[in-house]
Amino acid sequence: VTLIHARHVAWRDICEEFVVVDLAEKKILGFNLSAGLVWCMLDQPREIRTLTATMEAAMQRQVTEFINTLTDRGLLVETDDPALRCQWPLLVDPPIISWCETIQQAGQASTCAFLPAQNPLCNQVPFS
Amino acid sequence: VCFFARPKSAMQPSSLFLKQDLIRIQFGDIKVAVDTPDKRLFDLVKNRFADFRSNEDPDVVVTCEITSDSVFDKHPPGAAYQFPVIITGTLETEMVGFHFRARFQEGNIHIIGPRATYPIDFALTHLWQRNHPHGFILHGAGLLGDGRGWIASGPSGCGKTTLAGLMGEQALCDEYVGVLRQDHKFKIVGLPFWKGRPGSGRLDGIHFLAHGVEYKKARLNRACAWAAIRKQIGWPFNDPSAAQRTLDLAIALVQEVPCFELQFVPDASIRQFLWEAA
Repeated sequence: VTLIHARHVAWRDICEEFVVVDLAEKKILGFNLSAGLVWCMLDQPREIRTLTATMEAAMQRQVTEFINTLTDRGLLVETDDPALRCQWPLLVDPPIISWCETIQQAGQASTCAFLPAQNPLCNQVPFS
Repeated sequence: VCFFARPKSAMQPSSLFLKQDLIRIQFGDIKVAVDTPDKRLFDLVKNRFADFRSNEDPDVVVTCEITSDSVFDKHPPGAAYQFPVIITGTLETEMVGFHFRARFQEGNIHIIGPRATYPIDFALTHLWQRNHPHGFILHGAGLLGDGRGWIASGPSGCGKTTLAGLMGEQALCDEYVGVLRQDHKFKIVGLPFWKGRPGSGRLDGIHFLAHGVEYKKARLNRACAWAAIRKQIGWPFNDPSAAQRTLDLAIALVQEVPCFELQFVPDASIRQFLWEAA
């Protein structure tokens, strides 16, 4: 199977972790360093079995599991583009999603003004 | 001054009125005029943007076509936002409980939807984001005084509106503020959400608010600042490349602009504390 990043994501590394913004599910995810390295590799079409073939069994299982999780979440998608060869990075720790947050600021439907306990100034204006 | 000439049978009571003028608004640096023949919507828009009225010629004219009565009369706000709105054209997006398609033709936005101001808010927010590739919208109050600018941000209920109210004329806005990067510096832009005034200025720092029994301010390290700010970003869900730019800008923001946790007591002395502690 050849996989690549889905189009509805934005990502960057910051403060020794990788951050992936999932625009479709409105989630922000934090990856540990190993997960970030795996994620970076998949910026290009990669054939997963070839990539993990050289890993020791335990790590191969963990990486495959992680990639399956990303695929299930829709963050990775199959592609017909030809897979690019590469040197798989040496992973020390198993790749994991360290945290996941739901994005709150998804338009004004999530504004403070909808909270009943808010200041009247905040309450009155958008309700028109 | 002009009159709308329509067949009597087509007139609804609310649309029988003398059109006095366009409602001119300052939306960041975009000059907008809202044009509606509907008297009730006209009044709603006039009230909604009262603090951000302008006398300047518009860059963009927003025209409105009413499809239903005010949805807020019969529905709670969260449900009301699910009423369909079409902002004519092709840009499709989906937000919490709200769907719209948008096309911003040169100088004109046409909105078809319920008698409410939120479709205009959405359209203008998208217009602002589209016009500012080096900017994004943050859930926070914008404060500007003595040549220095601050953002007070945090989750709903943390005190943004209270703080902005206490800052008086130094508050640019109390809910959503524009953040722009220009000439390698960040600046804040007052947007009409909800109370405040038009204006912009250099950004000197960001306060993440917390309730307290005394004033207390502590500098956040980069990781904590990032954890705090990412929850408050208005992510442009319809456009992955815009979201990537927003992510890059937000990371640059916490790297370059000092961020603090601010515990405050809601009284008038916050003004002095805020500027002295700056």
